[in-house]
Amino acid sequence: MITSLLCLFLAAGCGPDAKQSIAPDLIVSTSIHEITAEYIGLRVWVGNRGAATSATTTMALRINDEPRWDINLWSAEADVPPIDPSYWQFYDFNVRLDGFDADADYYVQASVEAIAQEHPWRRYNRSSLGFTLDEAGEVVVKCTTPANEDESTGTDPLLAEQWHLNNIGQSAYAYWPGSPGEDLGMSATLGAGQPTGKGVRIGILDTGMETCHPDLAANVEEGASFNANMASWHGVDAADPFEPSTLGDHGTSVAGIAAAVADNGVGGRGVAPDATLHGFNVLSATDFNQAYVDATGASDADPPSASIDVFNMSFGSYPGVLNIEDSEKMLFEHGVRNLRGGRGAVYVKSAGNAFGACSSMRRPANGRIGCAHANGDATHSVPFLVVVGAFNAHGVKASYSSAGSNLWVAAPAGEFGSASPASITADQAGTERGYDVLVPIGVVHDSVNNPDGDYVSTFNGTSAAAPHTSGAVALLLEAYPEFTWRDVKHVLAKTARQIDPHARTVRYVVGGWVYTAQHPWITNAAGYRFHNWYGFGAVHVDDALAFAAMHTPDGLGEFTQTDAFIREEAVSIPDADGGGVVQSLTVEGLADANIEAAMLHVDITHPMTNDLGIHLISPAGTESILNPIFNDAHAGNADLDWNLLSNAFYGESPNGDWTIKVVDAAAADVGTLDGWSLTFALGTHP
Amino acid sequence: MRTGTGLLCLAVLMSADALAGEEVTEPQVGFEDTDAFALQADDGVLAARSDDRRLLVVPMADETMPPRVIAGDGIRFEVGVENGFRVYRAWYQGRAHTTRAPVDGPQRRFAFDPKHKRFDEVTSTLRVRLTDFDRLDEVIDAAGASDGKGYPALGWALLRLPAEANPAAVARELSEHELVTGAEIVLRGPRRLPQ
Repeated sequence: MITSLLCLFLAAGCGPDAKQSIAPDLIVSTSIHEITAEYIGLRVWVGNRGAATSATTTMALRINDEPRWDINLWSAEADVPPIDPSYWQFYDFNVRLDGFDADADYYVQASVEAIAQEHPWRRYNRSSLGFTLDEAGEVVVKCTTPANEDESTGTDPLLAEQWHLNNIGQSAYAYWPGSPGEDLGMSATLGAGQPTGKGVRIGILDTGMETCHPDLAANVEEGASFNANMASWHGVDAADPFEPSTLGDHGTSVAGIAAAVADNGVGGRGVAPDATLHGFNVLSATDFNQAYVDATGASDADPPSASIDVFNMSFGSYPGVLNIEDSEKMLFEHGVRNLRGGRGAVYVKSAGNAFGACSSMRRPANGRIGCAHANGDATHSVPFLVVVGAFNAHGVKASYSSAGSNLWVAAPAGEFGSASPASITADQAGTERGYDVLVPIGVVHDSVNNPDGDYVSTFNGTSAAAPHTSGAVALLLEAYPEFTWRDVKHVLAKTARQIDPHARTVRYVVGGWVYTAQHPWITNAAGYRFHNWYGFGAVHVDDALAFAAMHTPDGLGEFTQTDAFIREEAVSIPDADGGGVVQSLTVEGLADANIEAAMLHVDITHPMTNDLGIHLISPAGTESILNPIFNDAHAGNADLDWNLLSNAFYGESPNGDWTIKVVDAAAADVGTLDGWSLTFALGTHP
Repeated sequence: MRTGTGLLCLAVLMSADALAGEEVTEPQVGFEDTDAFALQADDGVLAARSDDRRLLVVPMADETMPPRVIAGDGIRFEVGVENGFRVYRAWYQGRAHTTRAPVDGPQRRFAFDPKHKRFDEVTSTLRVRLTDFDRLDEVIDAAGASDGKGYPALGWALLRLPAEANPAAVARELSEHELVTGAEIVLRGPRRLPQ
């Protein structure tokens, strides 16, 4: 139903002017590269996420014993040369520890001087971390039991505010309350005698994990977590992926959402409070490539990731490359084919937080259809993942959550915990550590329910949505351990709750055509509802468990991936024309099969691929937008050789005529669709 | 690190036409075959593979490196030091592609991907396909690696080379080893950050 028709004549109003505003976008991140007894090696990364080469600027690194940067104990500066789009620089600073007092906390900030070329809304270029020196003056690298550990049992004091588990309209330490019912749909499962994830292993692939955290320790499998920095961080334990930075450990908070212990009288609870946790500090690893392979299921020992049932990946690629490498794809293929005794592990992946992140240029349309999308992460182009978007306490897409045809489901995460609720979860233990050091709002001030500063109420992002889903999967696998990875995906899709049912169509007039830039909820020919913001909808744990009781394990037929169906016939893409170019190809010979994913490859020659929308229409008439117009990730890009994926055709037959439509929505640049192909992941559904 | 001692232009690589005495400022044709390029080169540019990508691993910029000419069809590399940074520039299909690394920082090695028209950093890791994982130690020794780990489930092992080794060169030699069915360089890849 058309609820909004915006007569915005894009070709004249936004095309050339917007294109002239292409800009660089410098981003900064910091990491601890090396730790010895004598120094801490800090690495500052400066990248350009924009579409134009940046100008020369400067980078500053400051260390202080308070989180303020006007007077510093240590500082350094470096020149930042011009950086081409999607490139990174990094700088290493070995800071001697004998210049600092022992038994103290220190705070680090890296900042890059904004350049005039950057758009005003992208000029915040800072990154912070912290570290603690012990009594010997060495960096603390191990998890130690907090002195005030509470081993009591009883009601979790923060459970009442965890709207994401049971939304009754609580405010969760924010200003505005949420909307009742907008949660993970597990009010029945929260009761006694329900699955709790017991016996299911969840791997947290992240910055680290506090294995001794009061609300996690009981669920951490001894000796099974892994610190990937044994060779570069002095004093670590191999099975302790402790995050030395004191300004919040992303992995600890993620783990808390998935599997914080329940009924221990402290904190809140996780979705699967009896699941077993393995932590991996892949994002902090000096050698990410090996750490990633070790953590994703190919390793039998050191670490034993091959024993994991659910892998939680709350991270993304910055700046991205277009297509996943074969070696990475192999990791997932191995996992789904061989782990869990051949039933396959479940890989849960956050969709991204780039909906509002227009790095390079911003057209009015981006405010409605998003800046960058989940297709910007090359990992999302394989059918082996559960890609998760985020919704807030009011039951609509979280403001930041990336959209995409490759989403599977959405899960609660929230907004920022100030005006509107965020997720409540574990934080680094102690009042001197954690996210609340820099952002002291919310539960940090609740001295009754958070006396030791071990919890945070501002955790969000699709990083939070993913572990909600991982926990839900753990509940399913406890109850139905014979389920394959595909069974899990199928159950989630079948039982997902339609949220934000009136999410609007977005249409523009382009070159005299009424062009649909964003669909509302659609119902495909197999009866599945789908929306690029939500996938099949919000995870609903109670319904998933109920449906699972009726689902035959491994009952979806053989999983196959077809060869490519190809059409290579170059055709011009009409400039600023909402009708676009349309081409079809015929898929045949795949009898009695149901689509589990459709993978589209496109070859496009075009000097400004940001202008382009890419649509796919199935033989049954279902239309999916695989790349919305004005994708910021392609601002300034020429040419596309790109793999995309859509879940919108789930359950449909692949046979028949498929149609691609490529639309150029802005004037002044022209190009051609040089070829395209389709491959399918198939099953045979009941 | 605020140094600016001027450009040391160490190597300007010219097209085959330039070798014949006719200076060409931009490549005239598209570059198709990285192996063919490498066969013409005798000055440190090595063809290498990583997954399905075919790359040209360029020499590391060094203040002591004398100027060199490396021929190739349709591509020109500039490798030098400029204002405190090692600069790697590829002129290809009418555009310059540039990456830099601080001189004061760790030595970083780069490869150019003609298909994707970008530089990527080469790590000190090799991905090696083996016929017998029980003999991984032999391959580690043959590569001069400091250590390695096998992933039989995936069919390959990761070897960690010393920082001074050229992974492309080691991969080329190792490909001849009786236990090795393939050796590839490993690129740093995109930065992975929490969401």
